[in-house]
Amino acid sequence: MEPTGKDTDEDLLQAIQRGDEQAFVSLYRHRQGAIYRFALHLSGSATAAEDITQEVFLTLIRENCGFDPARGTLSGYLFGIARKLVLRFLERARGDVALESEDGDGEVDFSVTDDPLEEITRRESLDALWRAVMALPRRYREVVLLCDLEEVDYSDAAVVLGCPIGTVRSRLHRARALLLEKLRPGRPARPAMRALKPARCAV
Amino acid sequence: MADEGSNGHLAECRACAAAWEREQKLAVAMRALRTGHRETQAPQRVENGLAAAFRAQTRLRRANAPRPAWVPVVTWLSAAAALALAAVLLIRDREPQPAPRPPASVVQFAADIGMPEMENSAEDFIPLPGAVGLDSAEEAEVNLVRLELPRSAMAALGFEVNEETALEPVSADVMIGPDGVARAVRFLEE
Repeated sequence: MEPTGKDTDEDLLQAIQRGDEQAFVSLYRHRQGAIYRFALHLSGSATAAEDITQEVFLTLIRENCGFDPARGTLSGYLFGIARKLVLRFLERARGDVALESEDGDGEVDFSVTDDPLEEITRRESLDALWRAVMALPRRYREVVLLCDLEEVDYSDAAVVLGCPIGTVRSRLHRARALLLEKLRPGRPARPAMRALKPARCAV
Repeated sequence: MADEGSNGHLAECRACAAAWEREQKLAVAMRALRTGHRETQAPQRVENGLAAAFRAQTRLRRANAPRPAWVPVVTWLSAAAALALAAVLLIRDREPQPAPRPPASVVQFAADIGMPEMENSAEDFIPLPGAVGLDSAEEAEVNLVRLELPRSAMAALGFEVNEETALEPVSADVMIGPDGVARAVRFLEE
């Protein structure tokens, strides 16, 4: 089967399960960027993101890949697998290196002297915004990565995160409020990395 | 997006208007961020590895796929039908006959269709008892059908067949005239 531009993810998945390699490559190329970026930005590791992306698409090759169309879209399903793998990676990494705190008390400092929202076309402004996103606590960062950066809709995001749509909305609202607070002009600079947890040695 | 009621409030409340404006700027900045990050893709080696894994998995699946249950059934039904056909034709003349020369039409047929291997081996075709020769027009419409017949069918044509192997299949080419009646048969194995 030669995949056409109109084939849906579900069409391609059915072709994949019949052994159609072209369909598999087509689906991979369509979805890999978003999955890779999500894994990269959530894990902070390019190596982990590569492994996770590979593992996500390997599930489609299996006889019973576990996708249930009644529960959501294939895209949401793939993001869900990626998220679980990232969390597993972060859990393993937690014992080796210190990571920023989950509750958001100790935000990484990224002081800017001017208001980046006034000059959004400037590269520095976008860099500042990006640093602010990456400094968000995980539960807010992942919803920003999914909804604002990868344009996953709320219902798919709810499936990925395993929470109600209302929770997705409220976390996104809170995340945006945190970003606006971080990027507020004239915000006093805080000592950097103050609230990082001390490193725990694997003894 | 602000609706009419909200727009009315924003026109009156400076604090909310300022907050709304900042949120809109954040949304614009997010769009710019999204566009810039689109270039980030997984390395090509990920795709290469996945494609190789897919091919390996497909090969493994095909090698382990069980044959459909109907395949042996159809094979033996076909062989049984061919045997029944041969038996009906052979039963007309019970007295054993010495194997006559193949009808001239068989050799001519091989020559006409330019199959040197068939022409050379036309002598291998054994006319079925009672087979009627073909005229020149009919020769052009002869069909050659390759079947699997039980070895016991060979016995009906004068071959010696081991009792133990009587039911084993043997490949055979059957020459069938345009009227659908078999004219000759050639066994491909002894």
